[in-house]
Amino acid sequence: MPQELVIHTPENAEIRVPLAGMFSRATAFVYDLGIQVALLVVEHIVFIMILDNVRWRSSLLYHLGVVQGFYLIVVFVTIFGYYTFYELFKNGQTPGKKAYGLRVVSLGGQQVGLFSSFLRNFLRIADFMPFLFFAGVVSTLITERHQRIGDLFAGTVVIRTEE
Amino acid sequence: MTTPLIDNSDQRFSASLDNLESGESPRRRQAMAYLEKLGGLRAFQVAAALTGDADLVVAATARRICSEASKKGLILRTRLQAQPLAQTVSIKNFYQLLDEVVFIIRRNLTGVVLDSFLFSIPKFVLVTVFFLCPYYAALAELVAQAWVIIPAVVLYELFWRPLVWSSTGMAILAGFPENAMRRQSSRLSGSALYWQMLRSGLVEAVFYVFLLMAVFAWYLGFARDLWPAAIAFIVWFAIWVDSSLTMAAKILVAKPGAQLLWRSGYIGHFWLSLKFGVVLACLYFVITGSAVSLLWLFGLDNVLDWPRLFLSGFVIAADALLDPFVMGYRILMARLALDPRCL
Repeated sequence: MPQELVIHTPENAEIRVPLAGMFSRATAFVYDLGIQVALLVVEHIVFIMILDNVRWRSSLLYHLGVVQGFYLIVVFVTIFGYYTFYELFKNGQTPGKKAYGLRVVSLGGQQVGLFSSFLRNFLRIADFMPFLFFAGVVSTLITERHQRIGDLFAGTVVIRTEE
Repeated sequence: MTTPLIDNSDQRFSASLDNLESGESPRRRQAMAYLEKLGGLRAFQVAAALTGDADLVVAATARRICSEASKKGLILRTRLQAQPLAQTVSIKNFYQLLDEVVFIIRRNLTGVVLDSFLFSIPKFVLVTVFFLCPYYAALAELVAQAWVIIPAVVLYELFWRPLVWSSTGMAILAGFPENAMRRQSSRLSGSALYWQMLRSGLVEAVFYVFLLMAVFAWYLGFARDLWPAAIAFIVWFAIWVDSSLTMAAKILVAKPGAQLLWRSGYIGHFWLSLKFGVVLACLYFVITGSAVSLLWLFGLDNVLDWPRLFLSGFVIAADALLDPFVMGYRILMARLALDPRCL
Protein backbone atom coordinates (compact mmCIF):
# COMPACT_ATOMS: atom_id res chain seq x y z
CA MET A 1 0.00 0.00 0.00
CA PRO A 2 1.58 3.31 -0.99
CA GLN A 3 1.84 5.90 1.74
CA GLU A 4 -0.93 8.44 1.58
CA LEU A 5 -1.72 12.11 1.97
CA VAL A 6 -4.71 12.40 4.30
CA ILE A 7 -6.91 15.41 3.59
CA HIS A 8 -9.71 16.43 5.96
CA THR A 9 -12.47 18.36 4.24
CA PRO A 10 -14.61 21.02 6.01
CA GLU A 11 -17.46 18.44 5.97
CA ASN A 12 -15.27 16.26 8.22
CA ALA A 13 -14.76 13.73 5.48
CA GLU A 14 -11.38 12.09 5.02
CA ILE A 15 -9.77 11.79 1.59
CA ARG A 16 -6.69 9.64 1.12
CA VAL A 17 -4.46 10.22 -1.88
CA PRO A 18 -1.43 8.02 -2.68
CA LEU A 19 1.86 9.88 -2.54
CA ALA A 20 4.42 9.61 -5.31
CA GLY A 21 7.72 7.95 -4.52
CA MET A 22 11.25 9.05 -5.22
CA PHE A 23 11.79 6.95 -8.35
CA SER A 24 8.60 8.03 -10.16
CA ARG A 25 9.47 11.64 -9.42
CA ALA A 26 13.06 11.23 -10.60
CA THR A 27 11.89 9.66 -13.86
CA ALA A 28 9.39 12.47 -14.46
CA PHE A 29 12.19 14.96 -13.75
CA VAL A 30 14.48 13.33 -16.32
CA TYR A 31 11.62 13.50 -18.86
CA ASP A 32 11.15 17.23 -18.16
CA LEU A 33 14.90 17.78 -18.24
CA GLY A 34 14.98 16.36 -21.77
CA ILE A 35 12.33 18.87 -22.86
CA GLN A 36 14.15 21.71 -21.12
CA VAL A 37 17.47 20.83 -22.75
CA ALA A 38 15.78 20.74 -26.17
CA LEU A 39 14.24 24.18 -25.47
CA LEU A 40 17.59 25.57 -24.33
CA VAL A 41 19.33 24.30 -27.46
CA VAL A 42 16.70 25.99 -29.67
CA GLU A 43 16.97 29.19 -27.65
CA HIS A 44 20.72 29.17 -27.91
CA ILE A 45 20.62 28.77 -31.70
CA VAL A 46 18.12 31.64 -31.96
CA PHE A 47 20.30 33.75 -29.63
CA ILE A 48 23.41 33.19 -31.74
CA MET A 49 21.49 34.17 -34.87
CA ILE A 50 20.07 37.32 -33.26
CA LEU A 51 23.41 38.29 -31.74
CA ASP A 52 25.15 37.89 -35.06
CA ASN A 53 22.52 40.11 -36.66
CA VAL A 54 22.74 42.75 -33.94
CA ARG A 55 26.52 42.87 -34.13
CA TRP A 56 26.34 44.07 -37.75
CA ARG A 57 23.28 46.28 -37.48
CA SER A 58 23.63 48.01 -34.10
CA SER A 59 27.03 48.08 -32.49
CA LEU A 60 25.67 50.07 -29.48
CA LEU A 61 23.09 47.40 -28.60
CA TYR A 62 25.78 44.76 -28.99
CA HIS A 63 28.26 46.49 -26.70
CA LEU A 64 25.62 47.31 -24.08
CA GLY A 65 24.92 43.58 -23.86
CA VAL A 66 21.15 44.00 -24.12
CA VAL A 67 20.69 40.86 -26.18
CA GLN A 68 23.00 38.86 -23.95
CA GLY A 69 21.11 40.05 -20.84
CA PHE A 70 17.79 39.21 -22.43
CA TYR A 71 19.12 35.77 -23.30
CA LEU A 72 20.09 35.13 -19.66
CA ILE A 73 16.56 36.07 -18.58
CA VAL A 74 15.13 33.68 -21.16
CA VAL A 75 17.40 30.88 -19.90
CA PHE A 76 16.37 31.56 -16.28
CA VAL A 77 12.69 31.52 -17.24
CA THR A 78 13.16 28.28 -19.18
CA ILE A 79 14.88 26.57 -16.26
CA PHE A 80 12.66 27.76 -13.40
CA GLY A 81 9.56 29.12 -15.12
CA TYR A 82 8.94 25.87 -17.01
CA TYR A 83 7.78 24.07 -13.87
CA THR A 84 5.89 27.07 -12.49
CA PHE A 85 4.02 27.54 -15.78
CA TYR A 86 2.84 23.92 -15.91
CA GLU A 87 2.05 23.73 -12.21
CA LEU A 88 -0.12 26.85 -12.42
CA PHE A 89 -1.80 26.41 -15.78
CA LYS A 90 -1.78 22.64 -16.36
CA ASN A 91 -3.27 21.51 -13.07
CA GLY A 92 0.05 20.79 -11.34
CA GLN A 93 1.36 18.54 -14.08
CA THR A 94 4.45 19.13 -16.18
CA PRO A 95 4.69 16.90 -19.28
CA GLY A 96 6.95 14.52 -17.33
CA LYS A 97 4.58 14.34 -14.38
CA LYS A 98 1.64 13.80 -16.72
CA ALA A 99 3.47 10.96 -18.47
CA TYR A 100 4.08 9.19 -15.15
CA GLY A 101 0.72 10.00 -13.53
CA LEU A 102 1.95 12.52 -10.95
CA ARG A 103 0.64 15.89 -9.80
CA VAL A 104 1.86 18.67 -7.49
CA VAL A 105 -0.70 19.79 -4.92
CA SER A 106 -0.67 21.79 -1.71
CA LEU A 107 -0.86 19.96 1.63
CA GLY A 108 -4.61 20.61 1.61
CA GLY A 109 -4.94 18.86 -1.74
CA GLN A 110 -5.55 22.06 -3.71
CA GLN A 111 -3.73 23.39 -6.72
CA VAL A 112 -0.46 25.15 -5.89
CA GLY A 113 -0.31 28.95 -5.95
CA LEU A 114 2.22 31.16 -7.73
CA PHE A 115 4.43 31.76 -4.68
CA SER A 116 4.46 28.09 -3.60
CA SER A 117 5.22 26.93 -7.09
CA PHE A 118 8.02 29.44 -7.60
CA LEU A 119 9.52 28.66 -4.18
CA ARG A 120 9.48 24.88 -4.66
CA ASN A 121 11.11 25.21 -8.04
CA PHE A 122 13.67 27.82 -7.06
CA LEU A 123 14.75 25.60 -4.17
CA ARG A 124 15.77 22.90 -6.62
CA ILE A 125 19.18 24.53 -6.18
CA ALA A 126 19.16 23.44 -2.51
CA ASP A 127 17.92 19.98 -3.47
CA PHE A 128 20.75 19.62 -5.94
CA MET A 129 23.42 19.99 -3.22
CA PRO A 130 26.08 18.66 -2.96
CA PHE A 131 25.78 16.72 -6.20
CA LEU A 132 22.98 15.41 -8.42
CA PHE A 133 20.07 16.03 -6.03
CA PHE A 134 21.54 14.06 -3.14
CA ALA A 135 19.96 16.42 -0.57
CA GLY A 136 16.60 16.11 -2.35
CA VAL A 137 16.84 12.33 -2.41
CA VAL A 138 17.66 12.14 1.30
CA SER A 139 14.86 14.59 2.12
CA THR A 140 12.36 12.55 0.06
CA LEU A 141 13.43 9.38 1.85
CA ILE A 142 13.19 10.68 5.40
CA THR A 143 10.20 13.02 5.40
CA GLU A 144 6.77 11.66 6.20
CA ARG A 145 5.16 12.84 2.96
CA HIS A 146 8.16 12.21 0.68
CA GLN A 147 8.86 15.93 0.30
CA ARG A 148 12.07 17.34 -1.07
CA ILE A 149 13.48 20.55 0.46
CA GLY A 150 11.53 22.75 -1.98
CA ASP A 151 8.29 20.95 -1.10
CA LEU A 152 8.92 21.37 2.63
CA PHE A 153 9.33 25.13 2.29
CA ALA A 154 6.46 25.60 -0.15
CA GLY A 155 4.03 23.28 1.68
CA THR A 156 3.48 21.07 -1.34
CA VAL A 157 3.49 17.36 -2.10
CA VAL A 158 3.54 15.22 -5.22
CA ILE A 159 0.71 12.72 -5.48
CA ARG A 160 -0.12 9.85 -7.79
CA THR A 161 -3.14 10.30 -10.03
CA GLU A 162 -5.21 7.47 -11.39
CA GLU A 163 -5.35 8.87 -14.93
CA MET B 1 -20.90 -1.63 -4.07
CA THR B 2 -21.85 -1.29 -0.41
CA THR B 3 -24.33 -3.88 0.86
CA PRO B 4 -27.34 -1.82 1.99
CA LEU B 5 -27.91 -1.77 5.75
CA ILE B 6 -31.56 -2.51 6.38
CA ASP B 7 -33.66 -2.14 9.54
CA ASN B 8 -33.62 -5.67 10.90
CA SER B 9 -30.60 -6.02 13.25
CA ASP B 10 -29.75 -9.60 12.11
CA GLN B 11 -29.77 -8.55 8.50
CA ARG B 12 -27.78 -5.44 9.30
CA PHE B 13 -25.25 -7.57 11.15
CA SER B 14 -24.90 -9.93 8.22
CA ALA B 15 -24.61 -6.97 5.80
CA SER B 16 -21.83 -5.61 8.01
CA LEU B 17 -19.98 -8.91 7.74
CA ASP B 18 -20.30 -8.74 3.94
CA ASN B 19 -18.92 -5.21 3.98
CA LEU B 20 -16.05 -6.29 6.23
CA GLU B 21 -15.05 -8.96 3.77
CA SER B 22 -14.81 -6.49 0.94
CA GLY B 23 -11.46 -4.94 0.00
CA GLU B 24 -12.74 -1.36 0.18
CA SER B 25 -11.71 0.66 3.20
CA PRO B 26 -14.82 2.90 3.41
CA ARG B 27 -17.15 -0.15 3.41
CA ARG B 28 -15.10 -1.91 6.07
CA ARG B 29 -14.98 1.18 8.24
CA GLN B 30 -18.72 1.74 7.88
CA ALA B 31 -19.27 -1.87 8.94
CA MET B 32 -17.05 -1.41 12.00
CA ALA B 33 -18.93 1.76 12.93
CA TYR B 34 -22.18 -0.22 12.83
CA LEU B 35 -20.69 -3.03 14.94
CA GLU B 36 -19.53 -0.48 17.51
CA LYS B 37 -23.03 0.92 17.66
CA LEU B 38 -24.51 -2.57 17.91
CA GLY B 39 -22.17 -3.75 20.68
CA GLY B 40 -22.78 -7.03 22.52
CA LEU B 41 -21.36 -10.51 22.08
CA ARG B 42 -21.67 -10.76 18.29
CA ALA B 43 -19.81 -7.50 17.70
CA PHE B 44 -17.20 -8.54 20.28
CA GLN B 45 -16.54 -11.85 18.50
CA VAL B 46 -16.05 -10.14 15.15
CA ALA B 47 -13.99 -7.29 16.58
CA ALA B 48 -11.65 -9.65 18.47
CA ALA B 49 -10.51 -11.06 15.14
CA LEU B 50 -9.80 -7.64 13.70
CA THR B 51 -7.64 -6.00 16.37
CA GLY B 52 -4.53 -6.61 14.27
CA ASP B 53 -6.06 -5.46 10.98
CA ALA B 54 -3.82 -3.70 8.48
CA ASP B 55 -6.34 -0.84 8.23
CA LEU B 56 -5.54 1.23 11.31
CA VAL B 57 -9.06 2.68 11.58
CA VAL B 58 -10.64 -0.79 11.52
CA ALA B 59 -8.10 -2.07 14.06
CA ALA B 60 -8.66 0.92 16.39
CA THR B 61 -12.45 0.52 16.24
CA ALA B 62 -12.09 -3.21 16.89
CA ARG B 63 -9.97 -2.55 19.96
CA ARG B 64 -12.54 -0.03 21.20
CA ILE B 65 -15.34 -2.58 20.79
CA CYS B 66 -13.30 -5.19 22.69
CA SER B 67 -12.52 -2.74 25.46
CA GLU B 68 -16.20 -1.79 25.83
CA ALA B 69 -17.18 -5.46 25.84
CA SER B 70 -14.66 -6.33 28.57
CA LYS B 71 -15.97 -3.46 30.68
CA LYS B 72 -19.37 -5.14 30.44
CA GLY B 73 -17.84 -8.41 31.66
CA LEU B 74 -17.56 -10.28 28.35
CA ILE B 75 -14.58 -12.61 28.13
CA LEU B 76 -13.29 -14.35 25.02
CA ARG B 77 -12.42 -17.97 25.93
CA THR B 78 -10.36 -18.77 22.83
CA ARG B 79 -8.08 -16.17 21.35
CA LEU B 80 -9.11 -15.66 17.74
CA GLN B 81 -6.44 -14.92 15.22
CA ALA B 82 -6.82 -11.74 13.27
CA GLN B 83 -7.54 -12.47 9.61
CA PRO B 84 -7.42 -9.16 7.82
CA LEU B 85 -7.86 -8.99 4.09
CA ALA B 86 -4.80 -8.61 1.94
CA GLN B 87 -4.07 -5.02 1.05
CA THR B 88 -3.87 -4.25 -2.63
CA VAL B 89 -0.99 -2.39 -4.20
CA SER B 90 -1.37 -0.97 -7.68
CA ILE B 91 1.97 -0.98 -9.47
CA LYS B 92 1.69 0.33 -13.01
CA ASN B 93 5.29 0.68 -14.07
CA PHE B 94 8.85 -0.22 -13.13
CA TYR B 95 9.43 3.02 -11.23
CA GLN B 96 6.35 2.51 -9.07
CA LEU B 97 7.78 -0.92 -8.28
CA LEU B 98 10.98 0.75 -7.03
CA ASP B 99 8.87 3.27 -5.09
CA GLU B 100 7.08 0.37 -3.41
CA VAL B 101 10.46 -1.03 -2.29
CA VAL B 102 11.18 2.31 -0.61
CA PHE B 103 7.71 2.32 1.01
CA ILE B 104 8.30 -1.19 2.35
CA ILE B 105 11.66 -0.23 3.85
CA ARG B 106 10.17 2.93 5.35
CA ARG B 107 7.45 0.98 7.14
CA ASN B 108 10.15 -0.68 9.24
CA LEU B 109 12.89 1.87 8.78
CA THR B 110 14.46 1.52 12.24
CA GLY B 111 14.70 -2.25 11.96
CA VAL B 112 16.12 -2.19 8.45
CA VAL B 113 18.63 0.59 9.18
CA LEU B 114 19.84 -1.04 12.40
CA ASP B 115 20.16 -4.47 10.81
CA SER B 116 21.86 -3.27 7.66
CA PHE B 117 24.26 -1.04 9.63
CA LEU B 118 25.16 -3.89 11.97
CA PHE B 119 25.83 -6.31 9.12
CA SER B 120 27.67 -3.70 7.05
CA ILE B 121 30.33 -3.22 9.72
CA PRO B 122 32.87 -5.36 7.76
CA LYS B 123 32.34 -3.13 4.72
CA PHE B 124 32.73 0.05 6.74
CA VAL B 125 35.90 -1.36 8.34
CA LEU B 126 37.29 -2.02 4.86
CA VAL B 127 36.36 1.52 3.76
CA THR B 128 38.13 2.97 6.82
CA VAL B 129 41.22 0.87 6.07
CA PHE B 130 41.19 2.11 2.45
CA PHE B 131 40.93 5.73 3.59
CA LEU B 132 43.79 5.30 6.05
CA CYS B 133 46.10 3.78 3.45
CA PRO B 134 47.57 7.11 2.23
CA TYR B 135 48.71 7.85 5.79
CA TYR B 136 50.10 4.42 6.69
CA ALA B 137 52.29 2.82 4.05
CA ALA B 138 52.29 -0.55 5.83
CA LEU B 139 48.49 -0.64 5.69
CA ALA B 140 48.52 0.19 1.98
CA GLU B 141 50.94 -2.66 1.40
CA LEU B 142 48.83 -5.03 3.46
CA VAL B 143 45.56 -4.42 1.59
CA ALA B 144 47.35 -4.94 -1.72
CA GLN B 145 48.26 -8.50 -0.71
CA ALA B 146 46.25 -11.23 -2.39
CA TRP B 147 46.34 -13.41 0.76
CA VAL B 148 44.48 -10.66 2.66
CA ILE B 149 41.90 -9.62 0.10
CA ILE B 150 40.96 -13.03 -1.36
CA PRO B 151 40.02 -14.68 1.98
CA ALA B 152 38.21 -11.50 3.07
CA VAL B 153 36.09 -11.40 -0.10
CA VAL B 154 35.42 -15.15 -0.06
CA LEU B 155 34.42 -15.10 3.60
CA TYR B 156 32.17 -12.08 3.11
CA GLU B 157 30.40 -13.14 -0.05
CA LEU B 158 30.01 -16.83 0.75
CA PHE B 159 29.45 -16.86 4.50
CA TRP B 160 28.59 -13.37 5.67
CA ARG B 161 26.09 -12.40 2.96
CA PRO B 162 23.64 -15.21 3.85
CA LEU B 163 23.70 -13.83 7.39
CA VAL B 164 22.83 -10.37 6.08
CA TRP B 165 20.01 -11.84 4.03
CA SER B 166 18.54 -13.81 6.89
CA SER B 167 18.56 -10.80 9.21
CA THR B 168 17.97 -7.71 7.06
CA GLY B 169 15.65 -9.75 4.84
CA MET B 170 13.43 -10.41 7.84
CA ALA B 171 13.46 -6.72 8.78
CA ILE B 172 12.37 -5.84 5.23
CA LEU B 173 9.65 -8.48 5.35
CA ALA B 174 8.29 -6.81 8.50
CA GLY B 175 7.59 -3.70 6.40
CA PHE B 176 5.29 -5.46 3.92
CA PRO B 177 1.68 -4.29 3.92
CA GLU B 178 0.28 -7.81 4.20
CA ASN B 179 -0.11 -9.29 7.64
CA ALA B 180 0.92 -12.73 6.35
CA MET B 181 4.31 -11.38 5.32
CA ARG B 182 4.77 -9.59 8.62
CA ARG B 183 3.93 -12.75 10.51
CA GLN B 184 6.46 -14.62 8.39
CA SER B 185 9.14 -12.12 9.44
CA SER B 186 8.78 -13.12 13.07
CA ARG B 187 8.39 -16.82 12.34
CA LEU B 188 11.70 -17.69 10.68
CA SER B 189 15.10 -17.09 12.16
CA GLY B 190 18.23 -18.81 13.36
CA SER B 191 20.64 -21.28 11.91
CA ALA B 192 18.11 -23.18 9.77
CA LEU B 193 17.40 -20.07 7.73
CA TYR B 194 21.11 -19.24 7.52
CA TRP B 195 21.95 -22.62 5.97
CA GLN B 196 19.04 -22.28 3.54
CA MET B 197 20.34 -18.87 2.50
CA LEU B 198 23.88 -20.19 2.15
CA ARG B 199 22.80 -23.07 -0.08
CA SER B 200 20.46 -21.06 -2.29
CA GLY B 201 22.89 -18.21 -2.92
CA LEU B 202 26.05 -20.29 -3.31
CA VAL B 203 26.41 -20.39 -7.11
CA GLU B 204 25.68 -16.69 -7.47
CA ALA B 205 28.14 -15.87 -4.66
CA VAL B 206 30.93 -17.97 -6.21
CA PHE B 207 30.69 -16.11 -9.53
CA TYR B 208 30.50 -12.78 -7.76
CA VAL B 209 33.74 -13.67 -5.98
CA PHE B 210 35.28 -14.49 -9.40
CA LEU B 211 34.17 -11.08 -10.65
CA LEU B 212 35.68 -9.24 -7.68
CA MET B 213 38.87 -11.25 -7.95
CA ALA B 214 39.23 -10.40 -11.64
CA VAL B 215 38.86 -6.69 -10.87
CA PHE B 216 41.34 -7.03 -8.00
CA ALA B 217 43.88 -8.82 -10.23
CA TRP B 218 43.61 -5.99 -12.75
CA TYR B 219 43.96 -3.40 -9.97
CA LEU B 220 47.16 -5.02 -8.71
CA GLY B 221 48.54 -5.47 -12.19
CA PHE B 222 48.35 -9.29 -12.26
CA ALA B 223 45.93 -9.07 -15.17
CA ARG B 224 46.65 -6.74 -18.05
CA ASP B 225 43.10 -5.80 -18.92
CA LEU B 226 39.55 -6.10 -17.69
CA TRP B 227 38.35 -8.80 -20.12
CA PRO B 228 38.29 -11.56 -17.47
CA ALA B 229 36.25 -9.26 -15.23
CA ALA B 230 33.83 -8.52 -18.09
CA ILE B 231 33.36 -12.24 -18.77
CA ALA B 232 32.90 -12.95 -15.05
CA PHE B 233 30.35 -10.14 -14.92
CA ILE B 234 28.33 -11.55 -17.84
CA VAL B 235 28.24 -15.04 -16.28
CA TRP B 236 27.35 -13.64 -12.86
CA PHE B 237 24.62 -11.42 -14.36
CA ALA B 238 23.14 -14.37 -16.24
CA ILE B 239 22.96 -16.31 -12.96
CA TRP B 240 21.55 -13.26 -11.15
CA VAL B 241 18.79 -12.89 -13.75
CA ASP B 242 17.98 -16.58 -13.75
CA SER B 243 18.09 -17.40 -10.07
CA SER B 244 18.27 -14.06 -8.38
CA LEU B 245 15.01 -14.57 -6.59
CA THR B 246 15.91 -17.85 -4.91
CA MET B 247 17.23 -16.39 -1.67
CA ALA B 248 14.29 -14.01 -1.49
CA ALA B 249 11.87 -16.87 -2.13
CA LYS B 250 13.38 -18.88 0.72
CA ILE B 251 12.58 -16.00 3.05
CA LEU B 252 9.02 -15.71 1.77
CA VAL B 253 7.98 -19.33 1.72
CA ALA B 254 6.66 -20.35 5.06
CA LYS B 255 6.75 -24.12 4.63
CA PRO B 256 10.27 -25.57 4.65
CA GLY B 257 10.94 -27.78 1.64
CA ALA B 258 7.90 -26.46 -0.23
CA GLN B 259 8.14 -26.46 -4.02
CA LEU B 260 8.35 -22.99 -5.51
CA LEU B 261 5.73 -22.18 -8.15
CA TRP B 262 6.41 -19.11 -10.23
CA ARG B 263 3.44 -17.47 -11.85
CA SER B 264 4.69 -14.30 -13.50
CA GLY B 265 7.39 -13.09 -15.81
CA TYR B 266 9.24 -11.23 -13.07
CA ILE B 267 11.64 -14.12 -12.61
CA GLY B 268 14.35 -14.45 -15.24
CA HIS B 269 13.33 -11.17 -16.82
CA PHE B 270 16.48 -9.95 -18.56
CA TRP B 271 15.35 -6.41 -19.45
CA LEU B 272 13.90 -5.76 -16.02
CA SER B 273 17.19 -6.84 -14.42
CA LEU B 274 19.13 -4.66 -16.85
CA LYS B 275 16.87 -1.71 -16.07
CA PHE B 276 17.43 -2.29 -12.37
CA GLY B 277 21.19 -2.43 -13.03
CA VAL B 278 21.04 0.97 -14.76
CA VAL B 279 19.08 2.46 -11.83
CA LEU B 280 21.64 1.03 -9.39
CA ALA B 281 24.51 2.46 -11.44
CA CYS B 282 22.84 5.90 -11.28
CA LEU B 283 22.43 5.58 -7.51
CA TYR B 284 26.08 4.57 -7.08
CA PHE B 285 27.06 7.57 -9.19
CA VAL B 286 24.92 9.97 -7.12
CA ILE B 287 26.24 8.66 -3.76
CA THR B 288 29.88 8.49 -4.84
CA GLY B 289 29.69 11.87 -6.61
CA SER B 290 28.04 13.47 -3.56
CA ALA B 291 30.72 12.10 -1.24
CA VAL B 292 33.51 13.44 -3.47
CA SER B 293 31.71 16.81 -3.79
CA LEU B 294 31.38 17.05 0.00
CA LEU B 295 35.11 16.37 0.42
CA TRP B 296 35.82 19.07 -2.13
CA LEU B 297 33.40 21.51 -0.43
CA PHE B 298 35.09 20.99 2.94
CA GLY B 299 38.55 21.45 1.42
CA LEU B 300 39.53 17.82 1.91
CA ASP B 301 40.09 17.14 -1.75
CA ASN B 302 43.81 16.46 -1.18
CA VAL B 303 42.79 12.98 0.03
CA LEU B 304 41.66 12.27 -3.52
CA ASP B 305 45.29 12.04 -4.61
CA TRP B 306 44.86 8.26 -4.49
CA PRO B 307 41.86 8.14 -6.86
CA ARG B 308 41.64 4.36 -7.31
CA LEU B 309 41.77 3.70 -3.59
CA PHE B 310 39.22 6.35 -2.74
CA LEU B 311 36.94 5.38 -5.56
CA SER B 312 36.99 1.78 -4.29
CA GLY B 313 36.24 3.05 -0.78
CA PHE B 314 33.32 5.17 -1.94
CA VAL B 315 31.90 2.36 -4.06
CA ILE B 316 32.05 -0.06 -1.10
CA ALA B 317 30.41 2.54 1.18
CA ALA B 318 27.68 3.13 -1.44
CA ASP B 319 27.27 -0.64 -1.70
CA ALA B 320 26.68 -0.87 2.06
CA LEU B 321 24.07 1.90 1.87
CA LEU B 322 22.28 0.38 -1.12
CA ASP B 323 22.27 -3.23 0.11
CA PRO B 324 18.86 -3.04 1.87
CA PHE B 325 17.33 -1.50 -1.25
CA VAL B 326 18.64 -4.29 -3.49
CA MET B 327 17.40 -6.91 -1.04
CA GLY B 328 14.02 -5.21 -0.74
CA TYR B 329 13.71 -5.16 -4.54
CA ARG B 330 14.51 -8.85 -4.84
CA ILE B 331 12.12 -9.82 -2.06
CA LEU B 332 9.32 -7.76 -3.60
CA MET B 333 9.99 -9.28 -7.03
CA ALA B 334 9.85 -12.75 -5.52
CA ARG B 335 6.60 -11.87 -3.74
CA LEU B 336 5.06 -10.72 -7.02
CA ALA B 337 6.36 -13.69 -8.97
CA LEU B 338 5.53 -16.47 -6.53
CA ASP B 339 2.28 -18.34 -6.71
CA PRO B 340 0.24 -17.36 -3.60
CA ARG B 341 -0.29 -21.05 -2.81
CA CYS B 342 3.41 -21.31 -1.90
CA LEU B 343 3.22 -18.54 0.67
